[in-house]
Amino acid sequence: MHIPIPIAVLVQKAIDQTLPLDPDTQRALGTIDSKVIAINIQQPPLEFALSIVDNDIQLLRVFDGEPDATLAGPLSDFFAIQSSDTALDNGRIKISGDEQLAKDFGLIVYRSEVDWQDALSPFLGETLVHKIGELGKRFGLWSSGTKQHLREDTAEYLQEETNLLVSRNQVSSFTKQLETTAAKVETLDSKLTALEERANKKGKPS
Amino acid sequence: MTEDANSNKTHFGYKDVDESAKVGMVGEVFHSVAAKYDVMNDVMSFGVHRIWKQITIDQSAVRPGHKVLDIAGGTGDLAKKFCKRVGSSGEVVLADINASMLEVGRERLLNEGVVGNLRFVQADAEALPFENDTFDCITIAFGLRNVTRKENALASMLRVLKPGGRLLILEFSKPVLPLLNTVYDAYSFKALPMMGKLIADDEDSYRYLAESIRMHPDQATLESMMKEAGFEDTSYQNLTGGIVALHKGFKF
Ligand SMILES: C[S@@+](CC[C@H](N)C(=O)[O-])C[C@H]1O[C@@H](n2cnc3c(N)ncnc32)[C@H](O)[C@@H]1O
Repeated sequence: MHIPIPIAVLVQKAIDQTLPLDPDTQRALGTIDSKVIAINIQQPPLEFALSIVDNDIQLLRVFDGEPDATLAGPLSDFFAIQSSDTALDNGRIKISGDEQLAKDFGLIVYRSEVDWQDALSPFLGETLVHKIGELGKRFGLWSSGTKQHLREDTAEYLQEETNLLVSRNQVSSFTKQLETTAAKVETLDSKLTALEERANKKGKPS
Repeated sequence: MTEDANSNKTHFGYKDVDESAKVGMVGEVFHSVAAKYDVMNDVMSFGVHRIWKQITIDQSAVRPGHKVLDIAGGTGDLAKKFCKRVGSSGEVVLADINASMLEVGRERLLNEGVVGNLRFVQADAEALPFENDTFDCITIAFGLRNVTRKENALASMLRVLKPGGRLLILEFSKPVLPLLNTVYDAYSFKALPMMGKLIADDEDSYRYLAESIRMHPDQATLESMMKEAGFEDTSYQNLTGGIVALHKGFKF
């Protein structure tokens, strides 16, 4: 499962606000610059990647390429990386690809001043599955067309990601107009279908 | 298909026009909407276009150090995200045929502090002014439907793509649900020009946009055009019920 887009945006924000508080970690990240590390959490199932670029960490919801290293294991063992410098040695997290890179990364996290679990706590732990499930569900809805959710989620997302341009009011008045149009079309559509059926009955065989 | 091989006519929305005239008309459309384009974009797709664009980025496999070309890049939504991804060791080129669009994009991205690894190039998708095998990834979002000879554009993209590189085409397509199709038609033909009038005061331009969307090749046709041009391992995914599709193809 992938992190839903709005959650990914928020997690990235959390990272961006936290990392500058820890210049040593930022410097250390320079030693593994340009590497992409895939994280494969098995319980709960969650896949994403971290890209190390210009002393920053970028969260990639999806990485459709070849990562330099992949770490796979249960969430609890990922938490252990910050409390133990041997967390990547006991084999509970499977490493594939560049093993040295994975271990270097583990050490950087271990040495980091930032309490990552705390920084990411709104998105982690017991509530993780719940939150992601909820948002995933809500966000899944825009494709199947539940208008109410579409409106709320989109307005939310717009404002979260972009501090945008278009106010909630503008969006909602527009969606209302659209819904009216859509409703008219639906009525028209069913009238046309009825007419067509009637015509077909009368006209048969043609 | 948009071209009629025998008569040198092409479509400008639903009007048949000479090919050379189309380039001019398309230019005018974007010239007249450039300034309000971002606002229109958000209102008209309820911001969902941002989600479509994020999904495009997800499929790009772009990583630090890569060179990315965003064709028909307009005001730079994708380019901006790619700049972050490729970092200081990479490069992003935002190409667009229209100088006004590029100017709006340049101003916007400078304001947002995106500098250093971004270049702006005025270029026609049909004749890209780059060396062979230059880019790791090429994207064209909501741009291909405006291109007069799509097969020329696809060939040109293939040429400048590195072996192993990929092309991503994000474009309006054919909704897969019949009802959605009807509603969407009504949306694009009635609501869209109306909104165009309200916001950009430019109903004609947005009518053109609506019409050009309907004339654009459907999912399977576009995929076969990509294959014909020489792209391999092609595929597409429908987004929001096929209102938009994301096509992917590789150069090997
Ligand atoms: C609908 S905008 C899309 C902008 C941006 N990619 C986005 O998704 O927001 C289409 C852009 O295509 C550009 N365009 C049209 N024909 C083109 C061509 N032949 N070559 C390059 N760009 C072209 C227009 O100038 C315009 O900026």
